[in-house]
Amino acid sequence: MVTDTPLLSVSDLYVSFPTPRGVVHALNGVSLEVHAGKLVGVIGETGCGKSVTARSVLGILRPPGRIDSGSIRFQGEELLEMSERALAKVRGAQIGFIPQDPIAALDPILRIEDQFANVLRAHRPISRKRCRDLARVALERAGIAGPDRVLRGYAHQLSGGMAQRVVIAIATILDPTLVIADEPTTGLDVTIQRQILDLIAQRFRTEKRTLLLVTHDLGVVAEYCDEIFVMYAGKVVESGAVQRVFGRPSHPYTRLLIESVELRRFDTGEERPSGLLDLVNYARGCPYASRCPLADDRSRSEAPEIRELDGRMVACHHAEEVLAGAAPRS
Amino acid sequence: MAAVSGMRERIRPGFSRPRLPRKAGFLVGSGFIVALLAISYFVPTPYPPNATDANQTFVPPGAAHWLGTDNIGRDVLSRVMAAARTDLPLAILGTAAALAIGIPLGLVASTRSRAAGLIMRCLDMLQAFPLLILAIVLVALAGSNIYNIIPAIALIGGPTCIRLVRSAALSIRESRFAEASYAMGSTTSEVMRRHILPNVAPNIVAQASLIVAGGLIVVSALSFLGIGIKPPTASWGAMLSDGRDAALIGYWWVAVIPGVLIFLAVLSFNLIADGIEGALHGD
Repeated sequence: MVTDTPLLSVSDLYVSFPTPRGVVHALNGVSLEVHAGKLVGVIGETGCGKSVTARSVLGILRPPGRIDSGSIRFQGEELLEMSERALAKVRGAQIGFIPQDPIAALDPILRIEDQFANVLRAHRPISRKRCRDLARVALERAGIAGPDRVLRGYAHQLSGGMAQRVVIAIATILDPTLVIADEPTTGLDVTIQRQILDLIAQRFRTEKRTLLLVTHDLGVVAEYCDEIFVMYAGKVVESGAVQRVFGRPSHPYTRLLIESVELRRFDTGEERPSGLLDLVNYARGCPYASRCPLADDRSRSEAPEIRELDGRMVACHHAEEVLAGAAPRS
Repeated sequence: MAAVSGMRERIRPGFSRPRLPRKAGFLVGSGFIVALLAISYFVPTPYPPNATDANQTFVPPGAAHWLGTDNIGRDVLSRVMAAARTDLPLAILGTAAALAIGIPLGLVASTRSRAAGLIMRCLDMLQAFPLLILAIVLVALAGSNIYNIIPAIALIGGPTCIRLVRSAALSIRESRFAEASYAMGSTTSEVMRRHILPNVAPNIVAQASLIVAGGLIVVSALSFLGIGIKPPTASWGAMLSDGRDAALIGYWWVAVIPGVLIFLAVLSFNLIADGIEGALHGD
């Protein structure tokens, strides 16, 4: 493990959403560390809490979501104890945000240059002309050829790929150390996805920026990230260097994810567990037990602690078996 | 709203009715209001509006008096022009007051604060009253001062304005762009000022036009009852009231002309609001 203090460390974070049908336990003790200069992927299925984790860091949990306990430290400072005013200074300036669905992330009735100005002015007094100059440079670096035309235009005049470039330019205009991207390529077609990810990865590597990339696309993480956190039912089940985790997964869920991409096992007609996770009636034991081919009585009664094994972290009683490849790879 | 009516027409084609295209309605409505204001402010009245003439009572519309004269020989055309200079500014000022109260309170009411709950409960309470009657009672109690009509209009228009701004602000707050702006360091009030208000503005303009229409009705109702605007100051409502007995014995013009003007002006403001709504929903 890396020993220097992480840029962002989330520890033991619990987030729940009280709803009329019961309390949804979205995060159940998520811990993750992001080190400076790394591109880090967070992966998992719908409802596993990957977006909620990102949103908690940014302080944009949708109501009625609330953080029950845990800590989020950025550059050693506890974000959960900061005042709104202090947080507003950190957001944007030190932590950038690339949301999903870029066209919806731009205000439909403001010119693009005004949206740059809004972000810049939220942080420091700055002249209109200076805003435009900064925006022009940022757009050029995001690979937009005619920045002036884009700046005068509106969101609806942009293609999805252009809009995402604009959003990336806005997210990085204040030179943040950490950028959180929440499914930045959903809604874009595949060739554009690749261009956007290439852009992000290349720029972030040369600018030594840190990226926390939330995605459900395993291929994206495998190709672009250094480290990975696999989440399931509001917990991190396995984490570590991408080559190590993907090369030899030690959690049955990670293994399932990889198989589903590599081997297209879903096409063989075999039964696979599906459907959304039930996060209201949160089980006592291992959250994955109900789907896991290796689950036994211990899995169902005792939640596995996350532990170090073979150079990565994993939360499974049977990790050694998975690592050895002994278990049925059905 | 537009989508619903469109759907109904598709399902039951027999019940669809031909209607004026909204754009045309908007042009007609705004054209009428602009003409009304221009004529009353920039064209001199043919006679002094309050000048009486005992020899010229109940003169029918004709060459000397285009719209006739009333029971004490005052020129009806001059009086309706002068009345427009009283009634329309009052309705517009009342609307301005309604917006000045409604927009900030609506924004506050869209937050998850104690104040928001309080505002909404107060609105619920107000809803129990027939607001027009409440306004009439308030002006009557406060004394027959012309400016007491302005808060009365604000009382009637304010609540709808608060609800409109609140509901629009709630939906815009949940939008991805408001969220992204917040995540990039804007404070709640900056998000309101830079994203929510500009996005609600067209709806507010449409609503304002409706409040002006309602305000005009309040002004007319009050002056019809002899509250607020004192004679001999000309007002459409008061003219309608003065002329209603004469209308029964054949002198129709004294009452009908201000009545038609109230109707057309209120209709125009409604057409303007309808046109803006139509443009917002793309039809």
